[in-house]
Amino acid sequence: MTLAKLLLETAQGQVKERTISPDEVKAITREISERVTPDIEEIREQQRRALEDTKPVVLL
Amino acid sequence: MHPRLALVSFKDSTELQERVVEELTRLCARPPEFWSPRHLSLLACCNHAAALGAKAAVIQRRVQDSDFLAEFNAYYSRQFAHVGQHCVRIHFFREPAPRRISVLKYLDRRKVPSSYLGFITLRPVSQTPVGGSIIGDKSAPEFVRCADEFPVHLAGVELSVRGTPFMQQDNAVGACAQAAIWMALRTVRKREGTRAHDPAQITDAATRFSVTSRILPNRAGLTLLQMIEAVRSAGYSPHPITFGDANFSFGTTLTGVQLARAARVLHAYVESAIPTLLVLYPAGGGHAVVVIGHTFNSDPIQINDLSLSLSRGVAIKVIHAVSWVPNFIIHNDNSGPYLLLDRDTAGGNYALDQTFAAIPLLPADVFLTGEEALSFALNLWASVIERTTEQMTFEETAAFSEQFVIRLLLLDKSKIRRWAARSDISPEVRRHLRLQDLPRRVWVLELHLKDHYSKHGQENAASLVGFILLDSTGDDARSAMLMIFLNLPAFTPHQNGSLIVASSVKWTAVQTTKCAPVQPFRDLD
Repeated sequence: MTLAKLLLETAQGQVKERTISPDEVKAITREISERVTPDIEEIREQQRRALEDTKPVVLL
Repeated sequence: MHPRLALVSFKDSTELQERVVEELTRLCARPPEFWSPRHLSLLACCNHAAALGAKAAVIQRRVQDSDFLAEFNAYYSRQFAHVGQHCVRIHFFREPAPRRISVLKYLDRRKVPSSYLGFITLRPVSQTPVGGSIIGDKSAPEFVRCADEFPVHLAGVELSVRGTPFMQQDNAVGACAQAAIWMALRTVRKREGTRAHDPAQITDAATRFSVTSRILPNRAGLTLLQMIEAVRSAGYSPHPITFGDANFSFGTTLTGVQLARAARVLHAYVESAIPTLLVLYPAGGGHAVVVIGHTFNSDPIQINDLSLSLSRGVAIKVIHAVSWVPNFIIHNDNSGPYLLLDRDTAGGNYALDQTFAAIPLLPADVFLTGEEALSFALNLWASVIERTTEQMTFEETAAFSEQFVIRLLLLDKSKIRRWAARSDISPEVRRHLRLQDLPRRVWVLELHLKDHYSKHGQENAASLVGFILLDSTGDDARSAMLMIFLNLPAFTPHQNGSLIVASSVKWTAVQTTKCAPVQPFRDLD
């Protein structure tokens, strides 16, 4: 199960509201994590590098 | 001795400036020949008040202004030459003053309080006279996002002004950096309930651990790291964001890609009503200003988009709402309030492409930054596009993706619930937004239909067709998503929409009733 699949199946299905099973939640969160984590880590790494390189410039 | 209150009338900005200069001359006991071009800020304040329609002013003398008293105690009281400790406030009104009316009779007139436009405070320092001032933002068709309502008491009359506090550096206790920090802190003090240091406290905090020059007079300004410390000491999360690379220095400018990123990053904070300090590197030396809003152009000159790669090898573009923002609005202590920041240096003014870094006044309980939230939400949106368009050709997929505009902002949960209570959104979405456990602040990625989004310049357009809510206190990808809603009937053949509600206890999938696009979160605030 993926988040996108769940969204579309919910819209098209016959069930108005349902609780998602723990296994489905686990699969979706794993998918989200695999998609999102590398980019977030890249942003944080860039942030660390940028501050290390910052020159002590004075603002007047 | 001159009376404590006096009423003056004027027909235009020039006449107003004459009256203000007359008052300042009296206050400083120095004639204008001692003055300097730093009076640009004072004249800009007068121009702004006149542009708002000011026709009369009440001059309030012998004011004990707490910010100037702090500057006085820290510096001016130690000078051999006399410097007064009192200030003068000029309160502006749109309602004209009839001839020979007394100031009290004028203030007691029924129409006068509602015509109040704010005030400027004149310090007894002729070189840099504009102390803590608040002039209304109402004349601007632009979006001044970082503003608040400030009560003012004058001779027993309660007045109110909505605006963004402004101050000129005094070039002794503080430089541009302190002035920018003061303006940002004072803007959010009431909303956040945090400290708003006076200029002397800002200088103290900034130079507590790192000193580069004399602290008093502080003519050498502050470094980026000192600014960060001042922001931290006031209770905010110090989050410097750099846009230029390691070689960025005075007179260099951001590349097109860097500039586009800077605009996107700033947009999220400004839309969240978070004043953001900008560290500029113009050719003449470092400078700091504070971003408080933006303009809106319903016909974007240049689209600011992000490229996303789908797993089947297709690259799509996602259009960012900053495309409709030609300029950010800044308070610049050395030239005035509510000014437009040029995008590039071609005009010879301060410009966005000179920005080395930004420091938003990020609340201390926000752990997921705007940049992280945008990346997070975009990845989720890409997965939706991927699934929705899997039967489409490359061209169809690109066209599908480019019908949307994304906008990111941080909202208090109370605003989200208030929006849900008033919005025409599907009843299932309304119910969950009002009842679901939410953290105090939530990152919201709004999905708009592009054709509808362009109408936001004139009216509160109904353009919202989906959203992704992220936990601003979450920094783990597995748990930060709170909710995702797609009003699929608004942009696909589906008959129903879909809402996924994620909590630590359980996840719920909800089929939502068809509804038209609705007004975005902030517009119903």
